[in-house]
Amino acid sequence: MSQPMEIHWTRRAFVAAAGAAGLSSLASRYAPASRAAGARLYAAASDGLGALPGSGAVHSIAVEDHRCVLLGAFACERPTAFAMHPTLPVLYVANDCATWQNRPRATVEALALAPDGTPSHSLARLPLALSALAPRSLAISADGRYLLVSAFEGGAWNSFSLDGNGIPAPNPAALKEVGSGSRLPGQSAAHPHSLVAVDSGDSSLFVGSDYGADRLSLLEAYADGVPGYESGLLAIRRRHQLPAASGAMHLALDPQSGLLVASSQLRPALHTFRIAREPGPALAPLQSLPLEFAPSALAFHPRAGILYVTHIAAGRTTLTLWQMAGGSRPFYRLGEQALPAGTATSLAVQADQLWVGGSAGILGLALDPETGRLTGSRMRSFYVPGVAALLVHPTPA
Amino acid sequence: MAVLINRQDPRFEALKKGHNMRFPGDSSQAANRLLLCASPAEAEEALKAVVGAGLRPTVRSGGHCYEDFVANNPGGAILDLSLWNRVDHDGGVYRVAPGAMLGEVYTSLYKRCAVTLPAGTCYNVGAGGHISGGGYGLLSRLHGLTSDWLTGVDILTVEANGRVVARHVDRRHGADLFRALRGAGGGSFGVITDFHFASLPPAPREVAEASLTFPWDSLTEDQFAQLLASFGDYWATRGRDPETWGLFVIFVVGPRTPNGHLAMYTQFCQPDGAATDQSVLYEFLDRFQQFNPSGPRRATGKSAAEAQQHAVTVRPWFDATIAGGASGDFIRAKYKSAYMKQTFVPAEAQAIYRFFSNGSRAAQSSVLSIDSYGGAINRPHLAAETAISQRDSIMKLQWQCYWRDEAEDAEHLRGMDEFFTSVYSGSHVDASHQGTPWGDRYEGCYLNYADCDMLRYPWWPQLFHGRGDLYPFLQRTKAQYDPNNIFHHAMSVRSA
Repeated sequence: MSQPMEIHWTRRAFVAAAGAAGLSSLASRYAPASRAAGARLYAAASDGLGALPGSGAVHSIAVEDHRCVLLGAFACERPTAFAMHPTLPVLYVANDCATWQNRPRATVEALALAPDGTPSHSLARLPLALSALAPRSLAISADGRYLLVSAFEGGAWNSFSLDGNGIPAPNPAALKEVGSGSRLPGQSAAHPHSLVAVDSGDSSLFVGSDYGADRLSLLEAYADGVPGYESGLLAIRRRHQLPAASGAMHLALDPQSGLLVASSQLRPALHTFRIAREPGPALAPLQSLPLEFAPSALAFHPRAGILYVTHIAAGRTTLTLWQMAGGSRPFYRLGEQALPAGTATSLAVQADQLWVGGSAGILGLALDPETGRLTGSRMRSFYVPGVAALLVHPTPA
Repeated sequence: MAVLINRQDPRFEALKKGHNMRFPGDSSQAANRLLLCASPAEAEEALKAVVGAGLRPTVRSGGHCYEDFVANNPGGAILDLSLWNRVDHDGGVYRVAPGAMLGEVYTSLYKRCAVTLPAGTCYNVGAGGHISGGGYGLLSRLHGLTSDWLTGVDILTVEANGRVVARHVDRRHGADLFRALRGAGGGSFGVITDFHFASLPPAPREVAEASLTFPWDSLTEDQFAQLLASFGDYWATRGRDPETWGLFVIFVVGPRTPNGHLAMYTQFCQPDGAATDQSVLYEFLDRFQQFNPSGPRRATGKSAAEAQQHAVTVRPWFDATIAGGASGDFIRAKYKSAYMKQTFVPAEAQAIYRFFSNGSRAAQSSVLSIDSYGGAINRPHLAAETAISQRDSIMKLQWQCYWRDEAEDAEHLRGMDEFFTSVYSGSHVDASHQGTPWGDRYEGCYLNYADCDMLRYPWWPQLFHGRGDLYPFLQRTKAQYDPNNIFHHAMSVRSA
């Protein structure tokens, strides 16, 4: 494991660097750019550049071989989670707003993407069901027909049906959950947290974690054909109960093996599952790995079978790499690395780059594209404070 | 087993809505199913099924909710308890099921036991929502609010793990929840399946009724202000005397049109339930002779009492209560409310006068009902025992606007909102709470006259639940008895 590079990843360092470089340099560095190749990194930040104070923005960053360019910021109220439509240039953002038209309802927004991958305009902004607040995760079914939202406060999953242009229909189907009954703080009620979509052929399947109820749920969104009600329905197909008072939270799905990893926070652990298809969808547990610290984010390498896990202790973030090994004990620990200042809350992975987002901004760590291991070179940073979510997506050539 | 009515059922279109035709807003906002429950057991089974399926339950008794709290429930389920309408007297306790309409309650209690509830005037309002939101009516100055008489409630709650629990709460069991159910409104804590009353006031034998009308079109702004002030003065002074508590008056102000009239409707009985000594009523009527009423008036050479004698009707209380008590024509409507602790000031009268004189479609469709209040309602200890904090008011105002065409929704809603805001804007209202009945003169709004316009003010919970410790108490109670927030609507108790 290589040693971390010494980068002072703070607001003061950023401002000092900007001053040293001169305003013209700063302007050129952050001027809108129009590049076609590479990937686009999206960061949801609550108080970032280009946003109104106290509001938020979606920052678009062009990621290329030799440099990264901040393309722009699209004002967006308290963005907390992303999802990209599987086939359309539409980015979905969850807004962690306390009210919508004075009702307790968070919202989701569909943003049209310009050819350069930057959000160009809002296609729709719609409220979640009444009392569905604090959205933490978005996922779109593999068939592109449904957008699912977790409402941490309000204890519900919301499902929006998407039309052919990716625009959500109003009045989502809501599935209200109940908690575990644990007396631990935060578990007196259900708290749906993370979502991943499962490619399951004809059906629109998702896995969701529930912090308040210590469980994972297989959810299916479907059309019911009820006249006058276009939102479809949402149903629980299967549950998997984690140990009591464990606090299920983050999810990551390995695109190669299809294995699902769930973290638990109150009793820190990584729980690994195989998603069984027959006779019906189910979660088959493979392994539970106790951890010393609760993970703050999880992500898989797209092809190397590496799971990246961050945790925060004493105000600092540590990144741990877990290598997939197969069999009944699918992971072993590869190593860990302390990261510079800031607390990491989100991860996004390309084959050759791991992006870490958090309180102090975005940090890019170079990866060996074949092994997924850190190369120890070319650490990059962006000062976008208060990053709540990251998403990386290849841009069309 | 509850009767299930889904969207394919031919009854669905008729039953998906309540009396206010604004809701559900459109088909996609309607519930996907209704469960008609005819017993507590059916309600319990229905609630288990709804919670188990992850659906949002909303609860309906009579269907008179003024806002969208019940009928707008996209994809959810309405538990309709209108078939559970039993009223009886068993083991020394009066029991009223939530689905009983007030007219049925009055009739049954009167015929079986010669007692009554001090509840509302509308015959077909359901007991469930009315009582849990406080409930008041023509006997409330004499006997207090409906919920003041509650001694126990049967309720279904949902625990943290989703288990449905049937509870009986009273002063000794679940005292916090019991207090919350005495006025904090329906739809926040669970499904009420029975109300218990250890005692109830005797039904009056008879009541004296009279009405006064005033020529509205010829009334100047100043005269109108004097009339309102005179009306309010009575309740702020003489109306506080227990001798007058049997007097209830509704002063109705409507559009100021040619040949239009303002009207006061009065009902009186003595504390003993008779109406033989009508001096309190006459004294009240006499106050308004200076405004040239076209109702009971003095005749030359006769005393006021003699002159009015022929215009005052005495009839059995039961007849007066049951006759003409229907309401809730299926129509689009908007309502607002305010509690007043003092009489009207000129600025309020001016705003009311100008609205009803402006000829707008909203004004033509609206009435402002100014009800007498106070009396037994204002016994101080009740604020701490119940979930109604407004115990100092002398009048309660209800704004009402009615129309039929959906295309006129925005115009009427805006008109009512602007009217209400204008009445509570100015130096008579606390500077930082303009637009709302807040300050020394007011006690906020009545939850059963729910008004979602108030949600735009961060202090809306204090408007409806008072500025003291009631709302924090309700939040704690909510967290304890409905930790998953299964029961919620736009104005339900929210987490702290």
